[in-house]
Amino acid sequence: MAVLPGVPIVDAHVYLGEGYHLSFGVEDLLEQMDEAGVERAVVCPVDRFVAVHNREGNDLVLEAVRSHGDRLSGMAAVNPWFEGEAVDEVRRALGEGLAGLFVHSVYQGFRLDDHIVDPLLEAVAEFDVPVYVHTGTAAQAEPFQAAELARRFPGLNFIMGHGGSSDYGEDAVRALEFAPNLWLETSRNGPANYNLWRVKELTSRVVFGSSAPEYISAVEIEILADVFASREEREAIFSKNIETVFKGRLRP
Amino acid sequence: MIVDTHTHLRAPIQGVAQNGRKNIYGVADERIDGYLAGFEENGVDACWVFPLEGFRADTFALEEMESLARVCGRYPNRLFPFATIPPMWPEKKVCEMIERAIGELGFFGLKFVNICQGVSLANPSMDLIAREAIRFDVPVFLHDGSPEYCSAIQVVYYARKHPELRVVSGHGGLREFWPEFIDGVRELPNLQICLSGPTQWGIQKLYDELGPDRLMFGSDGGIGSHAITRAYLRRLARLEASEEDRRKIMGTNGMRFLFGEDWENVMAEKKSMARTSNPGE
Repeated sequence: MAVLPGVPIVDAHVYLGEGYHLSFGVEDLLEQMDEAGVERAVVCPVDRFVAVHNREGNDLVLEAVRSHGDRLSGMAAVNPWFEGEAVDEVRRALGEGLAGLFVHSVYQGFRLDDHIVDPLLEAVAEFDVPVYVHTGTAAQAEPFQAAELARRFPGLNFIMGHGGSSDYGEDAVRALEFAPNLWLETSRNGPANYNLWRVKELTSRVVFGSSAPEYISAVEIEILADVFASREEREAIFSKNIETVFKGRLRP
Repeated sequence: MIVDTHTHLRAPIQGVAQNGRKNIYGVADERIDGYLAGFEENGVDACWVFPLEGFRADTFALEEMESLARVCGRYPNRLFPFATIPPMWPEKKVCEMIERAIGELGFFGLKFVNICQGVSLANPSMDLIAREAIRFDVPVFLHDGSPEYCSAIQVVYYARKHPELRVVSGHGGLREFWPEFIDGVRELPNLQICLSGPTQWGIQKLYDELGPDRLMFGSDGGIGSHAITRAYLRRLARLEASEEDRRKIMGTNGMRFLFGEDWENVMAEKKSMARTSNPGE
């Protein structure tokens, strides 16, 4: 992959585990990263581990991160409906080496900006690691709901998963006006929204994510490179911005 | 053969600036020359062509339809235009406009973006449109994946409500709702899917579950960046499918859907027409 010679590409969002909707093993992930020239990926557990089997999913990600520390970082997933147990689990998972929290309010059954998630974010704040929130689902996970969380927790950095996705392109751009601690992740989008972000001069607020296995990393990198043509833009999106989001703690 | 079954073209409308009017993605839309150059650059042989302004501003719908017919008429073997009709216009006006579009101008179908046009697919105005489309034997092509007027399941139920109408999902449910089309397409022979929307995983699953015959390549391109078309070409290139199935999805399904089993002869005639109207073709 020649889009960014000499600069490590980081994929801000991939999945791991055998789920109901998606399945992806570590070896397949590493193979896809190699094909795409991705140096490091941030791993989240898939669907069933996000909704219900939180500890099992977090252990799966922890094991992958420990086995491939040179390639993988990981995020924990806990369902806020488990209340105190969820808070304990996020502290455990972050304490053992995961580098952020993955929130998917659709799988987890709440409106993204519902205060039910606050205790989890307070626990995350103790570790000062970023939060990835799925967006793009009407009413349950919209860009402005992501902005609400970011405004409520200004000390935390948030990644707007899928950058609002598709029809929420304009909302995603507007949401960034109100939350300097919010970044757009690129998956589930295409050149139309990428052009919009570029026109709005948001290159410093965008991080590359493939959402593999939902997408093929090498293909999505080429699609992004079609729009973001300069080395400076590519360096920001594929490498530099994600380091800012993780406050220099992306790598173990 | 590559047929893009989902494109938009800015046809000239008096009072609407050309070469400089920016779309919602902040990019200036192209005129016919740029539109065609983009598809040629990407190896696309023919396109289903939809309007732009009429979805958002019904005052432009009629003029845009006439203009689109003029532009596409110069390329009869490459551009197959669809018309939009403001669904909430009075019944008489809707019927007259469909008569004009299909009966007189030779449009190949009707296209709706219900989230922009402000009416659910379950609204009676869409039943009137179905009735007229059936009468003219043309398909209705729908933007979908957008609650609350045109989600995937709303498209499925529109097709179920009108079994004689040929319905095309324009986005295959977009990123989230493509799984709803698996059951829907299995049940409903009048439902076809354009793959401009699902994730790569979703495109593969739709193919694995449904086979090739009900799926068609489409990009939603033509609106200012040639990279839009290239993106879906790249994704479809990674579809795990036989070469025969790939040929169907990338092109022949789109032709067969419009022109039937005789599509190759129809295309030969159209090519001949094109040579007459454009000696360079």
